[in-house]
Amino acid sequence: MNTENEKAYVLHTRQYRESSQLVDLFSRDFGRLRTVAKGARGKRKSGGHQLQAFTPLLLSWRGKGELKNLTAVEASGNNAALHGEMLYIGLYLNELLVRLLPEHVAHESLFDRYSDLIAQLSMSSDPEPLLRRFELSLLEEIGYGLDMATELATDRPIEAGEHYYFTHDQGFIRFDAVSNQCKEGCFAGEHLLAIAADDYCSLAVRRCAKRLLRSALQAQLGERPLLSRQLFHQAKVPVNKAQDD
Amino acid sequence: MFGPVIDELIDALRCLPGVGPKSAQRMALHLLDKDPRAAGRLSTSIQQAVERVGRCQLCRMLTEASVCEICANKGRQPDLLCVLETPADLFAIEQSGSYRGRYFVLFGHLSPIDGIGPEAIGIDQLLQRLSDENIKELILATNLTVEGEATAHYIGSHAQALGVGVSRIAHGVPLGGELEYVDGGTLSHAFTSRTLI
Ligand SMILES: [Zn+2]
Repeated sequence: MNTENEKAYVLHTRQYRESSQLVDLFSRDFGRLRTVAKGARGKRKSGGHQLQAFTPLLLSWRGKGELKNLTAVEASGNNAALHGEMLYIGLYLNELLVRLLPEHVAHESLFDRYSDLIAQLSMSSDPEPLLRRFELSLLEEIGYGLDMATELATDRPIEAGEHYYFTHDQGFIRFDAVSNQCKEGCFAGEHLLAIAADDYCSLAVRRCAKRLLRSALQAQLGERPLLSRQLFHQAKVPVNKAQDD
Repeated sequence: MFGPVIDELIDALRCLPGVGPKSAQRMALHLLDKDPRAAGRLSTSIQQAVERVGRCQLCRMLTEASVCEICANKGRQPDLLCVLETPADLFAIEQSGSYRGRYFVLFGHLSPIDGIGPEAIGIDQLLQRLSDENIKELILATNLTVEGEATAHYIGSHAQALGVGVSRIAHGVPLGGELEYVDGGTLSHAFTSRTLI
């Protein structure tokens, strides 16, 4: 099967044999898939140097087996490069997609959101809400969307002033002072409603969304932690900086 | 096909970059038939190298001493440190003859998807050096790939927190390059890092 000029992003590349690269793609119509770019390393002519993450590309590939051969690489549209902290965010997004998206399943609307997000990140000074929206749609796409308006078990609406537990199998459960001992780890109803309304103005809502999505994503990721999250934390800077010697 | 010992040799030769089954077979037959003395020398030197070569304590470069020749060379500028991804990058810079400071070789770059974080490429060791030594300028010469840029940013921000001056190698239009044929990404880099003349 031959595919021509398919909209795609590189999620990850890895050296393959001496001069080739294994390229994990997120394509609009074929979802996540793995291709090989033969002779891509070091040769500018073949366009291999353009196989970089966060660059909108038009790719062509062919092959019958699991591993397709990339045949053409073309940049498509604006080259919105990510810099600094935004690069970490980009690596985080790609790690999420590689870990959570099944292969060969198209996710057109998620692809479009990803594409918009990358373009926005390159210009944004406040990426947090953008990131939360994407995480929510990613969970939705893979079948684990969060319902922040209703209690799943009782069908009661989520209400401001109440507190809720989040469980991976039953969604939100209202905190009950009599039967539950401890309010810790609960989410405030008004924060959940704000997230549902896509309103991230308040710092408390942002904190709530971050904690909630981390927990919801971790349930799908399993035990293995996301390594890209480490980059956001301050590395252990050695103490006693030597005095002028 | 040739018996277990020869087959094993052919198979072993295939670990070399660019060596497929055909050329491995040719190499094995050449060593055994045409040049058995060279084969003996090759086998001794591989064994010696594997036993003796380790990493330099200071820059992580491959060396048979505890400190490599470049780090031990008093003639090299001690307050200039250049961070690289691979030993091949080091050879390339040394051959260009344009740099007289010392190096730090990461042997890779940050790659969360492959499970490679800061410690796996020695960044904690590098930061320790920046903290212990009096380094005036840290030159980040990682590749101009997404991972290379992320690695440079990570090291750069932590080095700055330690009060060390940080620079990134320039990138843009190659020597002898015609603008018409340079891709958009490279051109945009060339414009953002333009210099006054
Ligand atoms: Zn050294």
